[in-house]
Parts: sequence; C-alpha cells; structure tokens
Amino acid sequence: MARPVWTGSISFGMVSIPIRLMPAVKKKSISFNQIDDQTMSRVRYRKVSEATGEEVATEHIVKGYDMGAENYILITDDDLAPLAPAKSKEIGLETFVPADDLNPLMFDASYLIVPDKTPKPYALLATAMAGSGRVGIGRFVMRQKEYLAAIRSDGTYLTLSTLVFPDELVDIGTVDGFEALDDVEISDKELLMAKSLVEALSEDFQPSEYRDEYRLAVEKIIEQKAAGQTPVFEDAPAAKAKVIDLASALEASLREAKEARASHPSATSAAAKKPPAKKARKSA
Amino acid sequence: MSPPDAATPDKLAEYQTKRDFSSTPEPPGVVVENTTGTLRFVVQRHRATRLHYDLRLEVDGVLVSWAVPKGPSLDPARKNLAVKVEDHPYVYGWFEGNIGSGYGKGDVVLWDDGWWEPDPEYPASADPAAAIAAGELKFVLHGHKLRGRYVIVRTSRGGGGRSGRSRDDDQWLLIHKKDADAVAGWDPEDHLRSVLSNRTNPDIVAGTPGRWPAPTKAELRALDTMGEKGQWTVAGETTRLTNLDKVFMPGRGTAEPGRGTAAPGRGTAAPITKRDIVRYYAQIAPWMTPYLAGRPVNLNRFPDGIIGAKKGFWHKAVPTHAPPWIRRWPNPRAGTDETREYLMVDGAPALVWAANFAGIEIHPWTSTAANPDQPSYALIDIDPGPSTTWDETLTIARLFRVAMQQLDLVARPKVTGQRGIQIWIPVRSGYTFQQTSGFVEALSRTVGRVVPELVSWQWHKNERRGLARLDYTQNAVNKTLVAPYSLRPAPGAPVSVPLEWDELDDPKLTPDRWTIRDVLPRLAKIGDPFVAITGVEQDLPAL
Repeated sequence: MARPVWTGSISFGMVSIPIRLMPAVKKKSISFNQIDDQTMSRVRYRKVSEATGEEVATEHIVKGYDMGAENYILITDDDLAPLAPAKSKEIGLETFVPADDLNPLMFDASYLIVPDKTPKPYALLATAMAGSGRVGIGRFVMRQKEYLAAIRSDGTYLTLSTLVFPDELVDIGTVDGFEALDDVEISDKELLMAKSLVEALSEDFQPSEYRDEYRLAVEKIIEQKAAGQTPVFEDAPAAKAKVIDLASALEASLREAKEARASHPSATSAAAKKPPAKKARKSA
Repeated sequence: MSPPDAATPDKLAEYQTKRDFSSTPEPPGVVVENTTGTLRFVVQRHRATRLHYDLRLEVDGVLVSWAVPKGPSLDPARKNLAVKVEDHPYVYGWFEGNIGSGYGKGDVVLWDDGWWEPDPEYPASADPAAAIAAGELKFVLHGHKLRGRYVIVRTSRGGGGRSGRSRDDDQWLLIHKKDADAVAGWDPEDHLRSVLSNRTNPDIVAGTPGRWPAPTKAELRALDTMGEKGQWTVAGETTRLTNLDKVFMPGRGTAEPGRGTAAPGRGTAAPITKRDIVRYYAQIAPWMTPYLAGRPVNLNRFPDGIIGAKKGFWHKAVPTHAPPWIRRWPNPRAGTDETREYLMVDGAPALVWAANFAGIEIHPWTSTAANPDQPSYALIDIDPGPSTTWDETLTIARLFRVAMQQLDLVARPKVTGQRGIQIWIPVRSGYTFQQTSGFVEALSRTVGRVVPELVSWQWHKNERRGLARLDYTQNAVNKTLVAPYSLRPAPGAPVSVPLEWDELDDPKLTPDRWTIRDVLPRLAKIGDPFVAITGVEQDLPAL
C-alpha cells in the first residue's frame, strides 16, 4: 500500500475523527535524465561558488534573501525556528461554507481522507455533510508548513484539498490585456448564436474519455526504441476529400429517390430504392 | 475505487512492455484491489506457436500465471509440466479473442473460470505469494470444469543456460490430488468450449458466433406446466421463478397500458405474462450469445410490468440474493458511488434469472469485460422526434446505407422495437471510444447536412422542434444501446430486430413489426442478419 502523507485527526466541535491522508492523484508524466551524448554518461548538477568555481559543501550553504543589487540578508535556521507552526496532529474544522463560494483557482493538491482506527465518526461526518452543498474549511500543519484546507464529502468518502491563500492568487487588475474587454458590444443575435453553440456541444462530463495522449505517444516511442525499432508516427488523417465525395453521393441518392417517387409512383427504379408504398403506421 | 498498488508498480511491467495496446485486443490493465472476497482463477486455451493452456490465479491484485502445454486435468495420474510466465492484469481473466499479430499471436478462449482458495489443510500455503516464491502452492479450484485440490510445485529454476536465467527454465509440475473430484483419464482436450461464449478456438479465428444451448422440449414443458411459481432447471442451473401468470404487458391493439385489459387468447392481442417473457429469453439465448457473451450488462427493470408503470429503472448491480452461479464482473475502475459488480450473461440460465428479475430490456456494454476501454462496434442511433414520420426515419437510415457503401464498411441496421433504427458497425481491436464516437459524429453530421429539414442538433429535446436526433454520444464506456433481440416495454412486447439492408425497402417494415411471438419463427426462416457483422475486424476510414 501507498504510505499516508499525514496521520492525525479531524476535529470539530467536541468530535475528533482519526484519519490518514493519502495522495488522491498519481502524476504520470514521464521524466528524462540528461545524458552527455559523447560519453553516454549522466550529466550531474554541482553546486559551485561563483567566486571560486569550486564545489561548496552542504554545511556551508546558507539561505540568503535577495535585497537587490547583490545584497543579501542571511537567514539562519535559528531565525526561522520560533516561527515554525507548532507540531499538530489536528485538522481543525472552523466553518462550513457553500461549495460555490470557493474560487476553484484556490484548489491546490488533493488527498483522500481514509478513516484510521475507528470508522464510525468518519462515516458520521461524511453522511452529515452529504447533500448540504457545503465544504468544511480548516487549517493544519504538514511538513512544518501550515495549510488551509477544504474537506468535501460525496456521501461516503471524504476528500481534502489544500487551498492557496487568497493573497497568493494573481490580482486580475494587475494583468495586461483584460482592459480590451471594456469596449466590447454584443448584439442579441450574436449572443443567441453563441449560446446555441454552447448548447449544441453540451454533454455530461466523461472523465474517462480524456487521456494524456502526449504521454502515451512518448511511452510508445520509448517502447519501440527499447525493442530496437524505429518509432512510427501515425500521420494525421488528411482525407478531407472523402467528406465531399460522401456528401455528394448522399445528395445524389436522395435526388434519385425523390425522382423515382415523383415520376413512377408505382414502379421500382433500379437505382433508387423504392420507398414504402404508403405511409407506415406510426407506432407507440 | 481501486488505486493501483503504489508499492508494487512493476508487477505488470513485463506484461505491458511485451504488447502494443493500439493493435492487440488484450487489455493494458492495472493492479486491482480485491473487493469480491473471493479469489478468481481462469484457464485460457491459447493456440499460439504451441498449443497450451494458461492457468492464472488471482494473487495480490494480479493474475499469477503458468503456461501448461498439456493442460490442467482432473486425473491425479497426470503430472503436468507448467512454465511460470509473467503476471497478467486482473481483467485479462475475461479475455478471449484473436491476437492477430505480435506477442502471443494466436487465438484464446476462456476455457474455465471460477474461484480458488489456498488449501486450508496446509498452513504453508495460507500466504499464496510467499508459497509461490518458495516454490510450492497447495490450492483448491472451484470452477466449471476444474474442481478439487491441486498442488503446483517448482522443479527447476533456470540458471542452467548460457545466457543466465531464461523464463522457459522456470518449470513447475501441476498435479490434481486424489480426492472426491478426481477423475481418472480426464483429458482437457475433450472439453474444448469456452465457458463464456460456448465457442471453440477455431470459432474465434473464423468469426463464427457462439451459441449457448437452447432449452430442451422437456425443459420448456416443465415451464409450461408449472404453477404460479416454482424451480426451473435449464442447462443444468436452477432458478426460482415467481409470479409466472402476472400480466406484464397488454397485447397488441388493445387499450392503452394502464387502462383496461386485453382480450385474452386471441393471437397478438393476448396479454403477455411473465411466463411468456421467461420462456422467450430462454429460447432466444442461442441467438443473443454473440451480443452478450463476455460483456457487462445493464438491465432496464419493470417489476410490475408496464401496466401502471410506464417507466422502468436501470439496474446495474447484481443483487446479493442472486444465485451463486450468476457470473459477476467487478468493474476494476468503478468510482466510489458507482456500481461495482455487473451481471455477465453466460447462457440461457442467466437470461432466465434476469427475466424473472423483471429485467425486460437488456443493454450490453459496447466493450467487453476484458477490455472496457475498447469498443467492439461504432453505433449509429437514429432517434426520431415527435414529428418525425416513419418514412423520414427510413430516409435517414437509407442515407446511412449509401454512406456505408461509399465508405466500404460492413454494417447492418436494426429496428429498435420502438420507433428508431440503429446501425451497428463492427471495428477492429485497438479503437478508443473517443475515436468511434468521433467517427459516428462526423458521419452523422455529413448525413444531417443532406436532410437539414429532418435532423436537429439541439441538445434539449424541447428545442429540437420535433425533429430526429442522430445520437453519437452513446459511443462511450458504460453507455449502452438495447441488445439485438431484447424485448421492449410496450404493448405486445416488441423486439429490437436486426435487418438485412434491403429490408429497409420493404413496405411492410415498421420499427416494432416483430414481437415476442414472431421473432423466433423469423430467425428459423431467415437466420440472424447480424451474423454478417460478427467477428468482422475493420478500420474506420478518416472523415
């Protein structure tokens, strides 16, 4: 089994729910190593001093905050120690807010909340939250850092998403380009067209239909190369002409059927299939 | 939910690097969590370079596998060589088909399956993974063909060859113990048929549809003479039937459902009872085999018939009260709020059970349980609107016929038994639903442009101005169309019936022309037009 990233409890009111957090996402991007193509050996990073060009030992590397103009303020671990959040094994739920109030841009990493030791309080919270349309908001400390978190329930399972702090979101007012929207005018007709386009393309979200085609293609290249083959690239289909052929064939068949019906209501044309002689009964 | 076991990501690495999943019908698969409480075993008969049987035991989320050249047996005198091969994914346990090229080229049938357990008398086998690592596992098989206590024991483990360890050297012996299930002289080659589809290996290569056995005359007589309820045995399995004389649908040409009752005993006007439905599904079983075998099935249930209840409800999960011989498929990727165990129909008994469970409509998946992401068909669904006439539906269907001719595609239409027509296009292995749905959308839009006055692309029904919809969105995993030869919930019990293309020109054709009473005579007379699309492997052209 995968290891939990955090173990502790959710607390709210007088209740404490022992839980474990497991990653909800397993990233599958492919990573490459850097290789020197002359010696076929790995390329390594080394930390060197700008002054001497020599490698610097780990114990001599300290943190410096850039004040500009090559001025740095040195910050030691001792400076930071008093600020470290108190080690805590609790996610304190402070409030339950409407899910729609949360800006989706704030969602950061996602975790599955797994009941630890006793499942009952977990099930109680999951059931109580279900259908409320609300998410629990709280804070907790993981790996010496304090996180803001949102807890959701689907009726059976609880999940947790860490949230970025609101002041970490980019202020839209500071981004160039949006001002062009100020002078746009939209006619009712244009809006109607755009809306019908949205509706025509509306369907239920099917997550299983989306996959990382790029990663799959890279994996295939690796597989083929590993097997000693030259990678084969499938060309994008370029057979646009066929659509026109097909459309004209369809038009032609329709015309033939109509002509056959108009000129020989009772005869069977060899080319056009004979339509039903009389209107068929409409069924329930 | 079944997250892959992160601690052992390499279990299936060897399996996966040996195969090209864009062309093999075999599934990629993941390590799964066991949610059924029992361990699955399968034996596949594989005519590869050399004929062999693959024995696969579920251990820790994968199928630990041995190739057994002479096949497993019930005969304790046979000590069968077994060569250990790479672990296979859990869903491989439902695979049968033709591997056209590449690794393992050849045809595979699911020769036996069931559940297994470590032999309780041997504590050393209680942890199967450790026992296999140590070279000896004692176990008990509960299958359709294989039953009883076995031992598999390693005799040599490579290292002898010049190039170091070779897989062929990982040799074991598979032996059936002398127990109550032992049968002297039992030879697997005398029992060739698939437990899923009743096909043989040559059937798979030839694309011959499987046929489950039909009920015998004596079995049908037992049903006809049964009272309101009773035990009915078909093809060796027994189902408890209930409410057999309950009227599920009025006959044809009678008052609207829910108001008044039908005049009894006059041909098509006679009401349809649950006994009629059970009898129909038992008899149609051989004909439905190619469309149901190896696929998860969703049921549209009408526990009180259609009288008084116009709408049924979807039932996907196999209920806990279903008999143990009902084949269940645990969807390895079911989400937290999704159905976990689906029904897999594997013969007349399962259809009888489903019919008694009031599953009037049967909707199989477009993909197989072995490979849920690979569609077997691209499906065109002509869905008439309220103001679409039958003539107009036929016009659209005939346009698709012209398109199939132009594109040189093998396909056949079927009437839905309600108002529409569908067209089923078989595809080769390796397509995704995204590709089939993209193809059907492009094709449907081309057809739609020729008859814009008949077709609407509006999503909402009430914005379609009563026009027909060409629905390509059913080409998706776990989205289904009604099975060929399934009943439909309407007076007279109409049936969704496959057609030959030229039947679209028959003036007598209506979408609900055939009912529970006249489908079997039709099949006896002209056979199943969909045989033409069974086993066809074809590319979809670019549009």
